[in-house]
Formats: sequence, C-alpha cells, structure tokens
Amino acid sequence: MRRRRALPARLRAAAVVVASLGVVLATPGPALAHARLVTALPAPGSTVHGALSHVSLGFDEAVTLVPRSVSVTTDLGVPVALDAPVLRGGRTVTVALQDRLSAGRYVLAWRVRSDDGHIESSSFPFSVAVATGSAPADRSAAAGALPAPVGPGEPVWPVLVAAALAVAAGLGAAVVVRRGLRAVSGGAEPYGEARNGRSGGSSRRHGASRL
Amino acid sequence: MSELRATPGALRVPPDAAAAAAGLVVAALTAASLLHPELGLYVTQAVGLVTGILAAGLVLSMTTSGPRPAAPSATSLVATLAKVAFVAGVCSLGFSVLTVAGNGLRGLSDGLARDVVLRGGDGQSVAVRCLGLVAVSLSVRTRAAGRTARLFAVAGAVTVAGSFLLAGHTRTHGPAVLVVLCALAHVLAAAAWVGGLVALALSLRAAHGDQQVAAMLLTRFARLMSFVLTTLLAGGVGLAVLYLPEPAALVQTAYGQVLLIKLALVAGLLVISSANHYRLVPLAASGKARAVQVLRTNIAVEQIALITVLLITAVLMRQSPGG
Repeated sequence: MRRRRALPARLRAAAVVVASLGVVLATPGPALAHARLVTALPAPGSTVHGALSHVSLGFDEAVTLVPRSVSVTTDLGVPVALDAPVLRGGRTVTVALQDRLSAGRYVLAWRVRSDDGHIESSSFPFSVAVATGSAPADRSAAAGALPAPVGPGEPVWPVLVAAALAVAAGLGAAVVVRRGLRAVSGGAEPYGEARNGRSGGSSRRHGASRL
Repeated sequence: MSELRATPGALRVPPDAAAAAAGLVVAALTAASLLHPELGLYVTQAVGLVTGILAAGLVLSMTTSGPRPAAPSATSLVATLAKVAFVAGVCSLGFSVLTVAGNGLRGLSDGLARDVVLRGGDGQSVAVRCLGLVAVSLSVRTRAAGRTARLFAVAGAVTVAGSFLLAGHTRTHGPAVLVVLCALAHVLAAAAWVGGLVALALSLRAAHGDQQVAAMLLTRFARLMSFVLTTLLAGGVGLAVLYLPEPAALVQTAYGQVLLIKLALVAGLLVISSANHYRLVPLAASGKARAVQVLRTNIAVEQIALITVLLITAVLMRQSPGG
C-alpha cells in the first residue's frame, strides 16, 4: 500500500493562508465599530418653531446609556431640566424636557457607550424661535436624518504615539541588527568597538567567546 | 563603577537606579492618569495586554514542545508577569469607570458607570483574564505532576488570550465566528511568538555556552516559528479585512493609520527573523560562536520590537475601524 507523501511545510503554510483569506473574503462586509449619530430631534443647527417636549438621538449601532448621556444647556451654559433618558430599541435615546424652552440658542450634548466599550460624545447647537404656548414643534424644520454622521473628529495623538514608538523601535533594531550581521560577515567582533571604544580584542576579554 | 562597566551581553544599570527610575515613571503616570482617566485606561490596558500575552506565551512555550527555558528564571518571570497583568486589569476597570462617568474621581461612586463597566465587555474580559492568570500562576507553582501543571498552563494561557476577545471590536463585527477564529488565532500566535522568544533567550542563557544545545534550541525554535508566523499573519489579515469597511479606511482613519504603522514594524521584525533564520541559525548550528552571540542580541532586539508592537496594538484597540 502506497503512503501519501506529506506536503512540504511551506506549501502547507501557503495553503492555510490562502484558505483563510478565501473564507474571510467570501463573507459579508463588516459593520462599523463605533456608534455614530444618524438622526436627531432637533437636528443640529436647526430652528424649532413651536413646543419641544423631548429630544431624541438615533445611532447606527447599539449603545449603552452612561451618566449625563444627554444634556441641554442655554448659550450661557445654564442647564435645562430633563427627565431621565430612555433607550428605545437599543439605538435611540429619548429624553423629555421638564420645562418649555424659551426662545434662544441651546446646545445639546450627548455621550453614549458603544458596544465595543468606547465612549462617544459630541454636541450641537439648535435654536428655539418662538416662546411657545401649546403649539406643537415644526418637525419638518427640526427633525430627521442627518446629512452626514455627526461626531467628534478623531484625535491625532494616538497615531503620533504609535508612529513614535515604531520609529524608535525600528531604528534601534536596524542599527543593532545591521552591526551584528556585518560583524558576522566581516569577521569583526560584534558590538565590541561601539561599546568599549576599543578594538575587538578587548571585548573578547569580557567574555565574547562565550555564548 | 564596576556596575556600569560595558559587557558584550548587555548594558548594566545599577538595580537601585533602575528601580528609582521605574518608580518615578509609575508615580508620574499615576498622577497624570488620575487627572486624565483616559490616559490611565490606555496605560493600564497596554500594560495588561503586554504582560498578559507575555505570561500566556511563556507558559505555553514552557508547556509545549518549544524551547525549554531554565525552569527557575522562567517560573519566576511567569509569576511576576501574571501578577502585573492581574493588577493592571483591575486598575483598568477603575479607569474605565472614571472614563464612563466623565466627572473626575467622583465618578468612582457613580452606580450607573460601575454597572456599565462591570456588567459590560470590559468587566467580563478582565474577570475571565484574572481567572486565566490564576491558572497560569498555579501551573508554575503547583507541586502536582507534570500533567496537571500542563493542563493549568494550557487552559490558563488560552483563557488569558481569549479574554481579550470579550471586549472591543470583536463584539461589534461579524460574522462573529470568523472574527473570533481570526482574533483567537492572531492573539495565540502573537503570544507564542513573544513567549517563545523570551523562552529561547532564557534557554540560551542557561545553556552556558554549550553550542550543541544552542544549535538544537535555535533549530527547534525556527521550525516552530514558521507555523506560528503563518497563523499570526493569516489571523491579522483576516481581522483587517473583517474590520475595515473599505481599503481607503487604511489611510483615512486613525485605526487604519495605526494599523499601517504596526504592519511596518511587523515587516521590519520579519526581516530580522528572516536574517536570523536564514543567515545566523545555520552558522550557529555549525558551531560558530560569534553567530550565536549575534543571535542572542538579535533575539533581545526582537523581544523589544515585539513588545512595542503589542503597545501599538493597545493603541489600535481603542481606535474605530469605521472612522
């Protein structure tokens, strides 16, 4: 009975990579990791005509409520009294206003936790045009889907920190490894001259002949 | 003065000076972290990732057929790494509560913030990791027969590696089975690589110049690493494809940019590994002492570069692939 010959190790490794890539590429596309604001009532920068009884924020991913998930302040920074926020369907945060808003400019700030554990936060202004009686808000002007996801810009410092770490490690590694390889190729004593400022023979006295 | 004398092996730093410098760094980081909890979260998660992966990888290397290091030094290193990873994990939960509460140190008393963190992915991840770290510690401390110790070691290492999948991007991306498979393969392979390197360095030191033993250790390590690196790259490429919504995200998002930086450093590491594998290992195996000396230095360089890769990974884990 003939035994099948085992595939060479490199061929097996290549097959694993190709198979993994094939399976991965054949699967549906990914979802986004961080929740982003996609709808808002009132909409950012809009003017509300009429009574605003509640504010509502819709996200593209499931979120978790955290302390101070929604706050509304006047343009002077005075907080507006709100009820406790309610999460509906995992993606929509709604909070009722305890008092009617007088005419003026306001800032709505929100912060939620994405399912991947990251805190997302942002704020946007809106205005109330008329001190209201019992007339309902003009939703056509104040609500709806946002033209583009609203959120804070990504900070640059993580990229800079990662780049600095990589450059430091990469340059250090390149210098040390190159010196070692040249020493092995050329017969010079590795690391001896640079460390001791003396000839390669001196480093041998410090134990270079040992492993 | 004698403590500062240069030797071919390493630059000697007086232990007292090193301890004082480390103490200063820890104190400065603690103070800055209390003022900016998100910094504390970054630091503790990075320390937890590096020490947890190192402990898991080293204990796996001690258990499996990889290079067998000198038992006392490896055992004490695993125990220390496990302790640091445990403490870093618990501290990261505290900083996570502060970050979620968003109102400074008062946030620790915020019940909602505590619930969100402890009942969410972060709490589960740290709880599972701590269990794994206890198993890892028991595996190197137990007086039981080798089989029980190996069981604790493998279970603990896999649990520690798997715990990193319970929080972060693995929770929000799909298909879940593929993401988990790729992530687990990637984390376990990274642990095997960095742990194997540390184990190899300890073993070479314990070989006391025996070139036959050194050649055997190096050849065995090189064989093991071809499989480990293949798994690492396959898992990493799979995760990148699953996480990034489009190729442009590689340059347009902070996640993509940090990933590119990480890949550049890993490529450099692979060049060093190739130089070791194809040039130095054959020379060392043929008994050239100088090649073994250069290899030991290169292995130390690889360890430092790999730890840097893990630190960059900790930064990467807190970015959004979707922008």
